[in-house]
Amino acid sequence: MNLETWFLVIYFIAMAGIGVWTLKIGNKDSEGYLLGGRSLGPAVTALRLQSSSMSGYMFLGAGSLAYTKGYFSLWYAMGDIGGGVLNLSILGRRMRKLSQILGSLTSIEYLEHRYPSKWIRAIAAPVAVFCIFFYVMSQFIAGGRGLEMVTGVPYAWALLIAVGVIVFYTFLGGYLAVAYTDFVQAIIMLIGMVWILIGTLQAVGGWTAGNNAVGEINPNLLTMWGPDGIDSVQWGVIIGAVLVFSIGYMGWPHVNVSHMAMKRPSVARTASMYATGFNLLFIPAPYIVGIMALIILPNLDNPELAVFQVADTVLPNFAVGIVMAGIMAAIMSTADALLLQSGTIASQDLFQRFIKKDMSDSQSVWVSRFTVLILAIIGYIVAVNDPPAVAEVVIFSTTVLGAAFVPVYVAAAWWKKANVPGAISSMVLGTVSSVVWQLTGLVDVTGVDPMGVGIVCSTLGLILVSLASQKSHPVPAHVVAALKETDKIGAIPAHMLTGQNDALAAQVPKDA
Amino acid sequence: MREHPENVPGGGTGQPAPSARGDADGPGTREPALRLTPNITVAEALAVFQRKLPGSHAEVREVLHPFWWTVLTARTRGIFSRSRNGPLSSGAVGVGPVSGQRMNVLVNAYSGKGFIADFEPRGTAVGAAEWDAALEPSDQAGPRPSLFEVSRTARSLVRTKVVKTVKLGMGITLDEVAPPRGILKPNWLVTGANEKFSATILVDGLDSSHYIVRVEKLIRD
Repeated sequence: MNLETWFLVIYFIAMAGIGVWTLKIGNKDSEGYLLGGRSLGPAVTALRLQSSSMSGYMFLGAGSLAYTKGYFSLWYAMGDIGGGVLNLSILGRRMRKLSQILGSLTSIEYLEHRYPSKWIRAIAAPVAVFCIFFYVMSQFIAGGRGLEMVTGVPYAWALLIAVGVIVFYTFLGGYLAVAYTDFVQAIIMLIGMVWILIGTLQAVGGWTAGNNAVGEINPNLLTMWGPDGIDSVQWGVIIGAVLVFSIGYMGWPHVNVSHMAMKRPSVARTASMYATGFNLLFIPAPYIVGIMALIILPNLDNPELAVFQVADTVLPNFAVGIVMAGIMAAIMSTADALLLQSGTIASQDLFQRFIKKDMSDSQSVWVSRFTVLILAIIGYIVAVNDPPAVAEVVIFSTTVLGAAFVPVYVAAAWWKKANVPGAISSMVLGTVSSVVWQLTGLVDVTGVDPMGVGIVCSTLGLILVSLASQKSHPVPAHVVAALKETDKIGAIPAHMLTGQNDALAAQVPKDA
Repeated sequence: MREHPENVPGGGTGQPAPSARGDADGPGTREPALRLTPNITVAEALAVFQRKLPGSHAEVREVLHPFWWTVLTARTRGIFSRSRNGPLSSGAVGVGPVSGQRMNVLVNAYSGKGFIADFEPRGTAVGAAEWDAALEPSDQAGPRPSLFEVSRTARSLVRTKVVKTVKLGMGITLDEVAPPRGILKPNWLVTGANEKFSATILVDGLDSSHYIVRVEKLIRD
């Protein structure tokens, strides 16, 4: 077994160890399993949010984009850098407070409580679980490929190991396991990526020397306008790159659940500083490494391997092991968050809501675990066959998530007039428009991204339908009261809380 | 008024809880029990019920629950300094973790669970008969805490809170300012029904948190 493999084995054992540890401390009931008992501080919240937002794309896709398009790729980085702080600033504090007032445990349940109608959950849950399932499958595939590359183990076995480790600690410890492993994985990702960046810049003789060398290949690569210069720039793509990456996260249920698990609403402010710090250090690195790869490895067959190949070239063997652990961390931190969210939606938002309403906390946790296992098995079976269309389906499914959910999540916390018909229209229009835009080939004809179209449609649908139906479907008084309380800074008054105070059980009079 | 479930006395004595007059725990010099004034009105308690059961009609009844109130002071000493905190101001309403302050601890006279109150208990003095009457009717299982256990629970709570804030190596001194005093804490028992459900909810008379005592479905969907 080579040195890189040893690092991976240690890494897997450490992650599984966190799963076992969190089994003892945090999943006594649904709130514990699904939201870590709402106990997370700013560092864990921020890094968990960032690491689950950034999948293996940051190590594979970002490097590839930079390798082929030069500094033009930094438009995507700009959106990414702002994404975390935007999400925490716009949704963080308010979603944390509102979700506790309304007594919500999942991000889909939160939508139903804010827009009180069973149709909200009936529409949102299948859309979310479908999109998330395909996304998690792509992470399985990426994980399996990564392991295969480093260890030489056949793909099917590598995939089984990757899926097994992810399922093991998600299965054991629930949200707390996912949150703490994501936190650790964010740090590993950061160390790995910064190490590659430093090694790369040393190898090319510094950033200035590297830029000079890239300029000799094609001076346009040093500009933000792409290899063909400003004349061929597609402003729609640039605006899409910045906006979609920055606001898209706000529609992802598996990312938004981080807000609900914060210890206090005020954690959001500190967490946004951590998130920004992490993003500034981490996000530009793979893009810069990808650009410098043009000098170090000018004839790369597969640009997606740019970051890894550069690491293999400029770093010592043991460092490659750590970097590979970082890549696996990026993949696994996204996969575990997605897997838990799929299980949660299936158990809480579908099974408990529509099939067995009187399910106990313990049963709910086990249904969630069982769902995670079933999804992982299906994911493994599909991923082991590696259907070529999966990557496209993944990009498409994340687009649908953003288009369907960004306006309803933002309006849920900020707009008191957003009501049930508006939210239903928004989700349906966002989903249908982005799907139709993609499937009918309008993307190629117009050059406009389906997510942009989807968000415009869902936003307009939410605003227009909500305003038109205010009289027939007014927002319930308790939701308006909860939103007014959410406007305020400070602790939630006890009478606003939906959940009961169990300590009062000891004060029930005999004749009650 | 969220109690700390982890602070249950280790074992009961099996004896009945002492009267607020102290006739079961030493000389009868204990101050009379206090009946606290509710912060939550009947209308607010009703509103809590109607939030859980929209469109319901309900009756509200005040119920009193006995607690032991004890006051502790916590001082810390640094490793090199003799006394980190100066003398206490006797009237301070100290509830925060800062050392050298008074902390009011309420311990449930039935269950023995306690919590650090974020208020200074105030109310009207009640006679021993009323205190004894509140203490008697209980279907709570297990022995009631003795005054020794009440004090131990209170000290444990205060120590836990202070330990979170002190630096390594600091000494902590806890002093009980006065022996435990009986408190009758007000709650509202709300019973009512709407078209589908009948329910009884206990609403905390101090902070309006609630506990669902009973709920029954009246008709099928």
